[in-house]
Amino acid sequence: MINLESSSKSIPIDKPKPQISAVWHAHKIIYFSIFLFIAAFLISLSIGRFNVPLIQVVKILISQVVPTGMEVTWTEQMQNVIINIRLPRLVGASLVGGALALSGATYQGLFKNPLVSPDLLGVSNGACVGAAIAILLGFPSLVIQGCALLTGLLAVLISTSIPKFFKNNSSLMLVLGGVIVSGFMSSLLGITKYVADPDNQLAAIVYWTMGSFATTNMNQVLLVMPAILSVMVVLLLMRWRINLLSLGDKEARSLGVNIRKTRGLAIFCATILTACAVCLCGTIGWVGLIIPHFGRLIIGHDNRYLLPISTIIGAVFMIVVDTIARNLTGSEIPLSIITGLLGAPLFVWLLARQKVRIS
Amino acid sequence: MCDEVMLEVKNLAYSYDGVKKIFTNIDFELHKGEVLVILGANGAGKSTLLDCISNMLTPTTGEILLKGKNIAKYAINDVAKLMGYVPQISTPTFSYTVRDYIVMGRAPHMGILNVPGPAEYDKVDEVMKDMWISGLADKIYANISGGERQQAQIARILVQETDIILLDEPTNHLDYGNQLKIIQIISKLARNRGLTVVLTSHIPDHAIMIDEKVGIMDNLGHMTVGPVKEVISEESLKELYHTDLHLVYIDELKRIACVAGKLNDENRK
Repeated sequence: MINLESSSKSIPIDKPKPQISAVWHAHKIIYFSIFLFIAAFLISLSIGRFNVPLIQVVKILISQVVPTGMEVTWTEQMQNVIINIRLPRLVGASLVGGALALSGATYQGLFKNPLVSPDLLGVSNGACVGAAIAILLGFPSLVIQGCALLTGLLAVLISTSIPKFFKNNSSLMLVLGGVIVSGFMSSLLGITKYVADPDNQLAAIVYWTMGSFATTNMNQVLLVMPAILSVMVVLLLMRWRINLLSLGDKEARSLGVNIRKTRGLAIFCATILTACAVCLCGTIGWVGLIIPHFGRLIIGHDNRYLLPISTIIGAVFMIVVDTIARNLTGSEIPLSIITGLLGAPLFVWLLARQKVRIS
Repeated sequence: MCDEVMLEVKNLAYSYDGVKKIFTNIDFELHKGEVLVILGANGAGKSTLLDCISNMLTPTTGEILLKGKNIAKYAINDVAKLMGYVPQISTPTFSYTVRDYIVMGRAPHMGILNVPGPAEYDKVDEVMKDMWISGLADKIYANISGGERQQAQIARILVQETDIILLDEPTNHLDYGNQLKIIQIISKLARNRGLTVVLTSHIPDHAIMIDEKVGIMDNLGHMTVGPVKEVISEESLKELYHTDLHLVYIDELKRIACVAGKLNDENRK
């Protein structure tokens, strides 16, 4: 082997395989968060106005998966509450929390900016407009969701077309495109609210734009689950490529990365995740912004670990939020209110811990 | 020295928006193991030239051949397997460890959905050991010094295992000792590993010490390329930098050195 260094001026400290402990540390955190997710999921299933003991929850779940001759120690009512009411909400909450957090972490990595959230390109405002128009026209909930998905994606399509229109491929132009479309969509939403019947349509629109799992059923969850899970797998597989993109365009390209295609695919996946999440439960703020920060605090900046940990922590956070939403008061509290009330102080604490310098 | 032509630049020209000419008629060829040091005043177009050679910008006219094949006919990933590029030192927004930064050099050899595994990290450890920088492995790339960062960037290029490397002002912002260290590393890479290197610099001595090819880029966008002895003269340097410079032969070192003249305003042309 050729020794490149002839002088003895530099003092080499040759540590054998220094990385192993760091990798193991990251893996430990991920395993622990998976455990935390399972625990939060089961505990949340058991908590509610109608309490079901944890052991019964586990037994009911097992009896659904493996139809063995297990002795039935639970009532019909317990099974109904767990399987038909709480399970769909919690599966939905886990998917939405994971999707929003993963989407936010991806956007933050792509735009090299830790203050970016999944709504950057106008997907949430776009989805709100579609949902509001569908509510105005008195469509059923499935059509409302479909409209939200379509207009959410349309908004992103317009945002991503703006840099092409100006033949300027910089990230800044894309962000400005998002600002323009978000602003426009929020005005359109204002128009729908203005013309809505104030007795029930307006309330429905406002309630929808604050997010809730109150009406979520298993059919709705199963409809978006394949899309969310498959897109999640693609993003998680390309997590190292997002590290490469965060080096900057020149360096990434010199490493053989096709910037346009890779960034395009990542933006497409992150957008699909947010759009699916929004169409399932309405818009929910904060999750996509703060969960990646929290992830960075506990596992570092490397997207190989940050993307998986953000997904899991996002799911846990959403389970906690939804549990509070349905238990704190007699009626359901919209999710965005709780994510905001929890998120804002949490974000201040995270910024203080990270000592982020914002000039 | 092997006769294989690694990099050939033919009649290259670039102009922004087809109007503002940056450089014209650039011609040179580099064989295996050859080094070209490009000297030029600030804003002469050195970085733009490297951007064209590294396929970041498409030249207005002319062509670039990598191992005899036009660069435009290569896939982006195949260019990255042949040619590595070190841009000027930049501070990354997100902090990775030096080891995680260097392993990114393996990207052209990996699939789009793969993450680096033990085989890739073994290569990184080997290169870091060769460069005597193993001690930096666990440090955060954003926190190490400029000289260390430059060495980490070169390590990344070595992990990339390319035949040609391009470096944009690799000695920029470095103290004198670190500048010489980087020049020494580059020279050894060419001599011992047969790498073909193109680098830009503001210090004529760098070209003299490496003693291979040098290209002097003037403000009109022309570049004179040739061996150091033919291209570097007091006249050519004075013309390039518009100041009084002397070439002094140092017997002990058996080479010339570039020395500035008196600090008199009269000396400035």
